[in-house]
Amino acid sequence: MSNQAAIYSSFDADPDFAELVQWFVKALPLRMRAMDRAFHGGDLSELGRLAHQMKGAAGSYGFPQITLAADELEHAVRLGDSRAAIEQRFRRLSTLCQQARVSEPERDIANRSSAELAANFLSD
Amino acid sequence: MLHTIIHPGPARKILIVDDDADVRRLFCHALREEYAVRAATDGRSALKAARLWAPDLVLLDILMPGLDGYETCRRLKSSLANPPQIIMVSAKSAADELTRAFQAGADDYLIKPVDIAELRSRIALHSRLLESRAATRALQCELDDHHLQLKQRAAEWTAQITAVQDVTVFTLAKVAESRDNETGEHVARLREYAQILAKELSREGPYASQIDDAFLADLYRSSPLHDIGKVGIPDSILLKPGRLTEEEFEIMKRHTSIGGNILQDAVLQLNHSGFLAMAALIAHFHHERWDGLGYPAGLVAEEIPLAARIVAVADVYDALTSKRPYKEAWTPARAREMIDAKAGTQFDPVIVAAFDRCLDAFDEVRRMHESRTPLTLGAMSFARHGESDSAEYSADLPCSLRLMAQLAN
Repeated sequence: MSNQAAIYSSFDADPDFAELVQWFVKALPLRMRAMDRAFHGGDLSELGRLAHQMKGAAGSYGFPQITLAADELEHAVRLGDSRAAIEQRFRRLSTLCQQARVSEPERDIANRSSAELAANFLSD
Repeated sequence: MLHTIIHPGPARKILIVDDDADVRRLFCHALREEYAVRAATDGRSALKAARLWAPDLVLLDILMPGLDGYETCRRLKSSLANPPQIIMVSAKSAADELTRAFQAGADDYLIKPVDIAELRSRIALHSRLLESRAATRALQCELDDHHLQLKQRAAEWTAQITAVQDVTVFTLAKVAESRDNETGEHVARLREYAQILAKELSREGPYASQIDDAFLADLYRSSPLHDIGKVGIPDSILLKPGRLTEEEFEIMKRHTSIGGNILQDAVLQLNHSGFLAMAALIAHFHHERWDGLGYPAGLVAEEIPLAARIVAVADVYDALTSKRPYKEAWTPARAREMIDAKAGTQFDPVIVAAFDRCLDAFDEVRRMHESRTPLTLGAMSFARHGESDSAEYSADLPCSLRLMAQLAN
């Protein structure tokens, strides 16, 4: 896992959206955890659904690479590819998500607890 | 009036429907400065929000748990009186998504990931669309309103013109009649009798298909003009007390063709002949006989125009049941006997049969007119004569009766 290479949101020029992108990035581990659960639990349709969601959301937040990887995963699931093939795409997506950063020096939102973040992500 | 475009009014309401919180948050953030924004997490809560909040525009995700975007779109479009603009927003997962979205009634389609600038300009476009649609609707309402007013006014004018025509024609008929009939009530009663007969004939039998509402209306207006041709008959003959000579009678018979020609001339002056064409036929042929022995043309049976055959019966019945200086009024029963006896010779047997079914209605008309003071119409008041002058009018026996009398002798 090459954690050193970071990918940045293309929204970096728009400070108005910086905080939103931070929220998105902070919530990425939650998305990945949910996908991980679905993958290991064998719930491929849930995995496909989550990949589809990721595909729509990530690009909108300025992460087209993640959208691309999520699209590939969604396709592999829908086409009924081998578990190995699915896993490979899942890991690729997972790596990209770990590399995602807001390009500006990340503003401190540590005052918001991760529980609050999780609650926000799961709410509505 | 396009003032709605210049004045934007309250902010447009946009409902964002997506099961992904990050997407909802992003869209809300991108749109909240210019629009009133709310979010729903699935199809059902979207439908509820749409009912309660009435958004102008809905950004609708396709793949959602529960009710999917297509079905939500269909329900939004079909269940609301004023359905919102719907933009489907989808992270494309199937090739036919676009087609299905439009089939479900979507107005537009955006592909996720969504570029914020594109989202904003697309929504601005739909906003303008909504504005111009509202303006068009307002204009349409105004036009409809205007159109309705015009129609009402046209109907009022038509009714006024028609009423003036009716009174004019009827007055003309009474003026013509006033030379030989003191009361002028003959045309009024005849009109009712003819109408009753025509209505009865329209209900059933061989003439039912020929008599529609237009026929009835034309007949009502034209039957009073049947004797208009008497204006061309000299006083010495028209007002002669007692029996006419053969020669005088030939002249008297001309009132049919004179009337027919006068009215036919009137028809030729109009593009749309209306009731005058029927009036011409009635004037010309109301003394024809079913057996062909009538005048002026000697037409036989159904060669005689139907309206003229109807008026012939009504005319004779009224003459028989009216009091004249030289005769008492016949009772309706006696008049009926006479008319029944002439079925198939003088009169069309089908019309006589209808007449037999209408005796009560005829009686009612007669009694109504009896109880009325004669000369109620202002236009007729000049025709009043002293009682002592009545002998002057002893020649007011209708020509049909005169002919009947002379043929009988």
